Amino acid sequence: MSAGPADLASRRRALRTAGLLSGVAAGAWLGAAEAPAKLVSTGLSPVTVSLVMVCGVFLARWSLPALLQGTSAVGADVKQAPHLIIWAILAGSLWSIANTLTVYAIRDVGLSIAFPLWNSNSLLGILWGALFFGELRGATGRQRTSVLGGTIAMCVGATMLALASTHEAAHGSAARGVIAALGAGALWGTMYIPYRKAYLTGMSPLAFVTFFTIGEVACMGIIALTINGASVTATELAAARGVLFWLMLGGFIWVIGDLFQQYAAKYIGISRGIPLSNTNQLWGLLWGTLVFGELRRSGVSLPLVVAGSLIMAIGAAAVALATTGDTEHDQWREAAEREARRYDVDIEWVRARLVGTASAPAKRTWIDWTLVAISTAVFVFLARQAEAPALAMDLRWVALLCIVSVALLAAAGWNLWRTTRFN
Amino acid sequence: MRPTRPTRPTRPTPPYPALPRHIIPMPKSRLLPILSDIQFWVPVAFLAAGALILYWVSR
Repeated sequence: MSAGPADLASRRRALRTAGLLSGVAAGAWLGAAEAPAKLVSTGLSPVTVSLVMVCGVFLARWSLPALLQGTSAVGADVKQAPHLIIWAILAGSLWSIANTLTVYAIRDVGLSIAFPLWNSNSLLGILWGALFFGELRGATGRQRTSVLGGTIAMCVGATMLALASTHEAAHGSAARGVIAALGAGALWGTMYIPYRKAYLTGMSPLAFVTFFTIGEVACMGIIALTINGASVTATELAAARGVLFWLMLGGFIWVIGDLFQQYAAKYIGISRGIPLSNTNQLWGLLWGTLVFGELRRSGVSLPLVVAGSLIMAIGAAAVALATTGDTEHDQWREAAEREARRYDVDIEWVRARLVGTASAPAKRTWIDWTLVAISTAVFVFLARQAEAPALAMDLRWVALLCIVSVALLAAAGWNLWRTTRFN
Repeated sequence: MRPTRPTRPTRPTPPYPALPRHIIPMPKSRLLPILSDIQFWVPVAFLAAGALILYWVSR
């Protein structure tokens, strides 16, 4: 790169803004993804619910990259760093097992205990980021305190929200539930190693998620077949035709949030990006409270909800304001160059992609339009079979939250496109 | 007048120039760098442990 120090500093500022906006949008969309799942109240087993959502995720993970950049861009990235396919599949498998563990954790100890336990994933992510990728190394004491303090505050806020807004009884062994929740947190926290590895090497998040989802859907399929068996899974799927659309829509919305989370991890690092996108709990609470009237039930502590939300928001602000200094950026660059040497990736390509610059403009082919058409056709087909939700909703709040979410999507998406062309 | 200090023999500083590839053809393995990377085995170990925990809690 021939950019001078002033250009580099300005580029880093622009990337930080893109990363921060992505983190905020990720929280909103990951939180909104819970809404369609709330509309489903059938006798489906949790594993089948996860499997259907992952199918929606699969469609979204192939069609959105095709629409935004084209599969040729995905192919070009893979050609530069083919080793990352294994890392992406590994990350997808970690996600599937962690997601299924949360189902059992909720069953055994309830969401109020399980959620704070698996929410510790951001702390583990910070540990791996510092240990392996030079994150927070070279940061000032104030920046470190901001990130760590903010993340811990967010965990405390999340715990308070979980305690205040859930009161389901535990049904199983407490020790088993706690181990399942801790296991989910550990797996999600460790999933950020492949994330960071891919983004330090310069891969576009759109390319990474395309292969991530292969691990995700394959592992989820194996889990469903192992735990439920083929006949039970097939019977449940056939009986649930009316709700498949809502579950897959939840998966689709979740992918939009996850894509923003990936961009946040790339441009502000996992130590800042992951805590920011963990604000999804706040957004989930907003949907639950305002749209589905969940706080009107008895036994919900409003002061605890308000205090937990405030603490979480303050924690998120502290993380967002802990800007990455030049020394820390240099550490990231060194880690990226180590990756390039180890995996024999073109160092100039890595350097360029690390700062979000594209070598060639994206082109879309008939393959991309076919993928988009297939995905759209599946959703239209399922939507025609979908049953209207029986759950009461406040449509005014649905409209308002949708407007806010779309506004965040537009702002973060526009900024990402302008700054990085989705690289 | 101060005596001039003897100059030290200069040594080549790293990185040393690499030998042209056509002299020493190196077979490239895509798998070896992954398998020798500790950062690969950490998620693999967690994945294995997670699968065992899942097997245990789902029984």
